[in-house]
Amino acid sequence: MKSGTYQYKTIILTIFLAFSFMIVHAAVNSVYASCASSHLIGCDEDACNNGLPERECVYSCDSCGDLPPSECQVGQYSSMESCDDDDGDGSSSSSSSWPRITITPRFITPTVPHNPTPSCTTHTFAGGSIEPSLVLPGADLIIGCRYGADVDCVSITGGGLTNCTKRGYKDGVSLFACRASTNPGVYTGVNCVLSTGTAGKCCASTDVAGQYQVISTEAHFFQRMRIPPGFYTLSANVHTIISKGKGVYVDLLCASKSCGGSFIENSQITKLEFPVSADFIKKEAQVIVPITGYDIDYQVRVVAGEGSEAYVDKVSLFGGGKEYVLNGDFNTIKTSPNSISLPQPNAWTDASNKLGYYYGMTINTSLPPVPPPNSSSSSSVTGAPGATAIKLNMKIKLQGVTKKPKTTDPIYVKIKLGGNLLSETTSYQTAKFSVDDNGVWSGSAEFTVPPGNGYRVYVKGPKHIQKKVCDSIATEAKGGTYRCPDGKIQLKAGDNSVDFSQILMLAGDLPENGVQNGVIDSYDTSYIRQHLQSTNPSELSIGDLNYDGVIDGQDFSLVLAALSIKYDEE
Amino acid sequence: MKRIVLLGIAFVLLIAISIVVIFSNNSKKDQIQKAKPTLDGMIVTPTLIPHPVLGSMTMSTEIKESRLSIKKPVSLIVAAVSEGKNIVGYDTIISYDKEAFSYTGAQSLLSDFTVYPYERPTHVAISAIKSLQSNTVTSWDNTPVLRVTFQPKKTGTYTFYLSPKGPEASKMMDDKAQATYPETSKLVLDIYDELVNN
Repeated sequence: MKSGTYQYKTIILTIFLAFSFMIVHAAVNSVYASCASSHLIGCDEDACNNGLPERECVYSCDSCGDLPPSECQVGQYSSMESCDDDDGDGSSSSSSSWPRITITPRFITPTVPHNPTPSCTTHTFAGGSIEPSLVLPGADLIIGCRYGADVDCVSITGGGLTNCTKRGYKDGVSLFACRASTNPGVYTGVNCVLSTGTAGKCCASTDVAGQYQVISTEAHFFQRMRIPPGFYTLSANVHTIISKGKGVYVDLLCASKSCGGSFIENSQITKLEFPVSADFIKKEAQVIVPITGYDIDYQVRVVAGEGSEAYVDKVSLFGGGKEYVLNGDFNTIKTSPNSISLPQPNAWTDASNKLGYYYGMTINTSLPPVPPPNSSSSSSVTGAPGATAIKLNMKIKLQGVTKKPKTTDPIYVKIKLGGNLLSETTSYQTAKFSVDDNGVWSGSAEFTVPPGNGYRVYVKGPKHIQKKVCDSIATEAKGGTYRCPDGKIQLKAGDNSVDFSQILMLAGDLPENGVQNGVIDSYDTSYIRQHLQSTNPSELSIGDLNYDGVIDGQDFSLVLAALSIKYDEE
Repeated sequence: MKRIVLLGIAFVLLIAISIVVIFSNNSKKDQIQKAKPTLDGMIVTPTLIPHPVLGSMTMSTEIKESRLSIKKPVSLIVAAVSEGKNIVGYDTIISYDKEAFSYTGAQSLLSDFTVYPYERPTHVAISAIKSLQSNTVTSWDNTPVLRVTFQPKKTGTYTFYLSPKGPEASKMMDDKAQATYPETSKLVLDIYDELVNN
């Protein structure tokens, strides 16, 4: 019993001592954390507080640790963000969240008297920058460190950056050019570093400049182009055999510092995805380039995820009556780009990552893909087996043009084919049309499709809504009323003639920034209204619907008449 | 005595555990604060770069009520704010439930504008064009510009939208042929059957 009481007393004493120790320990830490006793760690109170809350104040990353206590300065203390252990990952090596206070004898018992004149010059970090913040592997970056002075002690470390060289100083910011990491990922540990030992006698510090992201390294071709504000269509005709990784896609990237809205350099503006298919698939997306300037660059990419295999027939970025993708049809093939023996198209960059060797992607329409055994052989589009070259010679009549017009310049009309021999309509071919004395326009377009019956022709004039025509010789009782459900046009290899001059192509879908939207709406009338009586050639090319050399009330009336139809026929 | 000792131990343990819990909470909190922001992979973006928005186009019922009888046609009033721009034409795209309403007509509330409505599978598109003969300045400040009438077919709660459909969007064109894309709103209507409710 006595022994038991003794044991109890021992336990109670032990627990009491442990508890007392914990309380004392916590109290001591609190005292340190309060900055009230900041002199104990060698810093004057202002330096320690630095206008920060207590906990951030003591989370000072031992900023004074490398210096004599007397040399700690106001502003030397960094925020929690700067408490990097400099290992490049932007993290602290301390696993504890409790204020990381190092109490060393020299701090507890200062041996150096307080000296108000520091032996090094402190430069306060006022922020960093990394531009662009979204980059391709190995791209160039500009890192900015704002220390407010052009000093010789600034350098850049961390974040997987290489080849950093100082390129200048402007408005308090030291600018460095660096090369981004070649591996995709987010890099947070880019630091602006002030080093001691230079002529400028800088006080040492390390500050976080920011972060950047290296985007996909998927195999790709790309073309860069500068396009003005307006409406554009990105389209591609692709047959994907195998889709792995990120799959096969064609996309449009912002290639300038900013492309308006939230789009910064390398932001993906639109993306056409091509899953595995039995044949070529055509996809398109509409893109509006906002009015943010006329010096904005964009980039079209053809991308194959690792292990993907695809054939690409055509890639296009079209707007304002202009094609911005060069060699989009891939008619010209390079046979030996670099060390890769597979054919690749001109006008595109050489494929990254030895595309073709390792990724299986090839861009060559001379190698039509073989459909899988279970695919249907009854439908086919451009490039399909059985397809052959046909030429379509057409005659058309435009609304408002009843005789040879005053303006007789050729016009460019978009033509495409549909029908039961095709799984989907062909891509547009742009045909040049010339007018005769009767106001009939003639032109030709070429397609590669299987010969046969059941075709329909889609005609889209430069200021007109699209007309679907199903008959080789089409007629209508009243102008603009022709309609048809199914194609009845027979096409054979070689030349074919169709006469659509007895039906009217209704006017009114005026190009806005060079692009027609397939709808007649208030834009079209307002354009004519604004340019009434204009004879300016560039305005006539848009708003002179009857080609009489002036934009006037007749053109306005033509649009109003076509408003009852309003939409492209599909 | 034994009970007091046990109570004492329990008390001390309780305090010790509390302190440990407080410390560990602080630790988690700081770890969260120290977490670096990260970005996901490729940024997914819409296919269209948004237009700048200016002015507004709103809908309301002509009788200013949102609970309406199935037996009576519903007249919606479209009002617009043009922010000082001189408007010479506009497009109104009204999406609605075709199962619950049938479109019956549209009228301009401004004498110098003519409306050109067109019914589509999911919406009605109305273009309004100012007469070439009218040279008055047309600037709107929450001005009623258009009446659109629908006949209810079903009871229930339904929403009308002015949001874009495909290549079409509600917009106003000024005398410089510049498009203004207004902020748009939706309108929720509750259609009831008088016979059932009575």
